[in-house]
Amino acid sequence: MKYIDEFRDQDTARRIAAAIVREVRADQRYRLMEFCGGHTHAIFRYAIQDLMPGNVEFVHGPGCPVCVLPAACIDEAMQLAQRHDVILCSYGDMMRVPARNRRSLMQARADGADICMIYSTRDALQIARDNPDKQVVFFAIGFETTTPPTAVAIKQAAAEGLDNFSVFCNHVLTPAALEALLNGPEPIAVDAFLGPSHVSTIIGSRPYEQFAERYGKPIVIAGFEPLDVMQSALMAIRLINEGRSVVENEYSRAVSCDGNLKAQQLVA
Amino acid sequence: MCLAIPAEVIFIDTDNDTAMVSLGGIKKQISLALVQDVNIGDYLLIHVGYALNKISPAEARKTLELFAEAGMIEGPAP
Repeated sequence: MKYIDEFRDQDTARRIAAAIVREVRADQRYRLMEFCGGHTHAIFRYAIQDLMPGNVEFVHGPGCPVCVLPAACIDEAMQLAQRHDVILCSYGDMMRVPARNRRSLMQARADGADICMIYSTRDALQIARDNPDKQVVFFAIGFETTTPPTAVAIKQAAAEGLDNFSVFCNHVLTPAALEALLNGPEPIAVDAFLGPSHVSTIIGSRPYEQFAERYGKPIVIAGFEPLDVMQSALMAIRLINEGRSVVENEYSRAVSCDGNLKAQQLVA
Repeated sequence: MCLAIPAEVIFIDTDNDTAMVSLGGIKKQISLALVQDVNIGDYLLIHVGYALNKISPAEARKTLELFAEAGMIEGPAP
């Protein structure tokens, strides 16, 4: 088992789609908000919406840290790089995002700012080691998935005495985003959630229980592979039919109830 | 952003708390700072150069069985 192909099998997808068709009630709407951009990507890439009955609708959620980051944060990062003679390290995701005046980090780099695209905080640390006379700033963004690697880098820099490494911290929390969605001025037009995939590997499935209970919305923790998304939709549809507002975990191969305690302690 | 890929552990460097993983034949060094009790042959979820978690083969099998069940009720799809 390689944990990828098994979760993309076309025949199985057709079977789950058939099971969904059998499960839905004609008089009920099923508005499923997929929390993450990873789910949205799978829904579009594998045309999952086309396999759903007409009354099952995916509502695209807020779970892409690049999308939810205020443009002002990108402006600030850009200013750090342009005005303060630092080396700014950024994940590739942020490089092309336009901020004020539609300028991106990529354009700022083309104009001479010292901006490095990195894959890992470990790369940022190496840049700091290689450039002791320059301040190296890591532009930290992301939900709970990406926060522990930032924490590891900060600890590592402290242990090595890397005084020229610092972090422009813009990490955000998933439960807070869910709370804002559910507790907004208008009631949210969603019947169930497909809950975060890799965020939940860190925080576990437990933090979602209070939301399911308090707001009467079932939440199914869903993996990012197409069959994961479809199976989670089926589970959510069943919970809606049964009127049960609980948390179920489809992505149990990577997500436990308590999550990754070692990672949680690092960011605490 | 939160994409993570399952990869198999082929070598563990205990001194540096890192592992070499294989992603469909491509080898990559990743950090084990966020995980515990990793063994060669384990599958890890890799994100931005770190292992987020171990993948449970038993739970993966259960999920695959769940997929199969969905199709069993009325036989294969048309």
